[in-house]
Amino acid sequence: MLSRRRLLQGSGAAVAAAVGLGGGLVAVSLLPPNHRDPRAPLRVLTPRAFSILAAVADRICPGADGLPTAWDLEVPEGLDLLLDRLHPGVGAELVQALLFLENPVAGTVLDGRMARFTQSPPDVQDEALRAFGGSKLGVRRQAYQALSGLISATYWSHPATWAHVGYPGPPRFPEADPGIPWGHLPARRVEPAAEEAAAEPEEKG
Amino acid sequence: MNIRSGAELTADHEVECDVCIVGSGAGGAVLAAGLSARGLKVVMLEEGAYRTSDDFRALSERVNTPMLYQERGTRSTSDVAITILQGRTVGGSTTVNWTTCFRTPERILSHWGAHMGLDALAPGSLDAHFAAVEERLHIQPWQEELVNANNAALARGCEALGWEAHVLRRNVKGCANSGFCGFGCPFDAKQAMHLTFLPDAVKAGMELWSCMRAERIEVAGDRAVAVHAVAMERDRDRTGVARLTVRPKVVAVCGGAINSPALLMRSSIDHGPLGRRTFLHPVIAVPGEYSEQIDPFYGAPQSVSSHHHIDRGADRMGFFLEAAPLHPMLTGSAMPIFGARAAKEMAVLPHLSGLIALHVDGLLPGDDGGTVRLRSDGRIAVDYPVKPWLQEAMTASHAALARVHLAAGAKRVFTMHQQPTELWSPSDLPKLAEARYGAHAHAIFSAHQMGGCAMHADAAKGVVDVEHRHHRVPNLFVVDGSVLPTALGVNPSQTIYGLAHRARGFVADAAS
Repeated sequence: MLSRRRLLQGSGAAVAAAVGLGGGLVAVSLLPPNHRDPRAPLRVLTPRAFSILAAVADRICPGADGLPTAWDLEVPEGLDLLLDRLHPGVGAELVQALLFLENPVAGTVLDGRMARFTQSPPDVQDEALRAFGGSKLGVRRQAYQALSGLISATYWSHPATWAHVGYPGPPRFPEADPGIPWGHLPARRVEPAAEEAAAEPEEKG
Repeated sequence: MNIRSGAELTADHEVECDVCIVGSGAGGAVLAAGLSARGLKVVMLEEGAYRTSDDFRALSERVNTPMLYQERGTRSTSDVAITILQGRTVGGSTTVNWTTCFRTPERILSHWGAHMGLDALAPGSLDAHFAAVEERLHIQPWQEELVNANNAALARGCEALGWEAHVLRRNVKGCANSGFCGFGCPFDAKQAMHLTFLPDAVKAGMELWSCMRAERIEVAGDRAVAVHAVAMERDRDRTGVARLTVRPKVVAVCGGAINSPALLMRSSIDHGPLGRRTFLHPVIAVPGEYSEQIDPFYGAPQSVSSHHHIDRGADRMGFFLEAAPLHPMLTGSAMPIFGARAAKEMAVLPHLSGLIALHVDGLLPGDDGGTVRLRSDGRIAVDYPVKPWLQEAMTASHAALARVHLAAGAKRVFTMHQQPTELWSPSDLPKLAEARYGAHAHAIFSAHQMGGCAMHADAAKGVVDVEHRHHRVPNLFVVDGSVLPTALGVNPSQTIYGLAHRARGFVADAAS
């Protein structure tokens, strides 16, 4: 995951220039982006970071054609919950990555994108994500990789997406009788060998 | 099984024993069973929680992945280019692996003898140990008639191309062919450590602590005198309040590649190439779309392998081919594309076959793989640069997998690049040469972590000797995948079982 040290040291002159704008960077990052209200108390993410994450998630997994959006499936809240189970440093780095993506100064310097991510139209947001993913700057590629992976994992693991992908779901577990073949599962149960496993084998060491 | 949980420990605790084993996976469990059977008092510390088939029956990627994997399933290299799948629970990665078992290839053992002075591991020397674990873990060839369509595509394509391929051996008994091996077997069919060697050890008197992180090994002079551990919360990567101090005669570090070198670093036992020569069998995946239904999420995840490309000459990295199950979360998160394009590819999931190539790192001169290090906040970092020889091999392996799919009858093949290359016929194969290969160009994974505490006869070039004994601290042993001096070119679990079985005598002698 990203670390702030890597974010600031490993990203070359362009990011240094963007960060070097100093006061401007701080000032704009304090302004609230298009706000999204979380539907559960936030554990790790700040309200600002949550709103940026929600915007990113809806571009990574925008829904349509019967698919729900990431927001519909509460993906941002799900990620906040996951971050709460991880080392605190992970959440801190993800917030840094989100603020970096949101920042219009860095966007202007690196991509010519003058607006914040959250205030950009969808096609510009998509272009910004592609720019991060294909960037020559390691920190931007890392940010894209981390965000797209976490968001996609949370989204596609949700049962509401499975009809779209033709996934029938996990096989039904035969609680009552393990001998009953599973419903739709095209599998044959292999009977256990009659003999029990041998006891601890002879010492060879 | 009687297991104590650090999560329930409310006061500091101290215990004396003959051997303290850190880690309950393939190495630690086999070692523990052997030592306990000899009457030695063993205390085992496992950072992860104790989970059983009762927990696995959710059959849910969403629930089981954070429950059973390192860093809740988010472990990766420090540049986030390689996703690292590694177990973190009682039983370690054996609880979540895909059950593929190979004995260590003779060419690898010969290489270790020639280059690492490990003549004691010459071909044939481990046979008795392999036979013993094969019996206990019920390692047998999988039934050919039960090979699922995902793996059958690999077999069919290789056959059409005249490439070697064979049905694998698996450590299962009563397998229901569900395809959920990676999320803990809900049937207790997979003969993982929490069902085999660990119960053996506990029955023989071992004290096993789950949710207990070994933070530091205390060394006085040249002796390991204590293991200092801290209790963990069960569901969060947060330390609890209570501490456990184990005072053993012998310490056996069995936390696996990545975690074992990190423990030695935290303990300032930094002899030799500690953390270096970490190998990942870097994996690339190429899906193929078939007209017929593949259902790549059902059936034994891995049952066919091809080693046709394992030896590509002295100056080129070899690779081998296997299949990977395509569950929705794993597939969706692995695709570097997003938005409508990703949704379009996901929409044909039941018709996809997921074939993978695993690259054999550590054999070429100068290939030192990656490095484990500690971050300033205590977290573990894995640096793994993709070197030119790996890029070359990944270029070749993409082409090999595409050829297999097309030969097997796929109507379309696509790569896992951010700008995927699509192939519809063999005449499209040259398009692959135009793509970029390496970190962040396409998805890369690792399910096999090896090295970091390399075994080497020369104390200057290894962390442990051929008897797993630390070169500087003689009552400290390392018995897990971290001792492997190179990658294996096969799935590593049985090699670790076999080495641990062999190591039992060495550790027991040191503790007696």
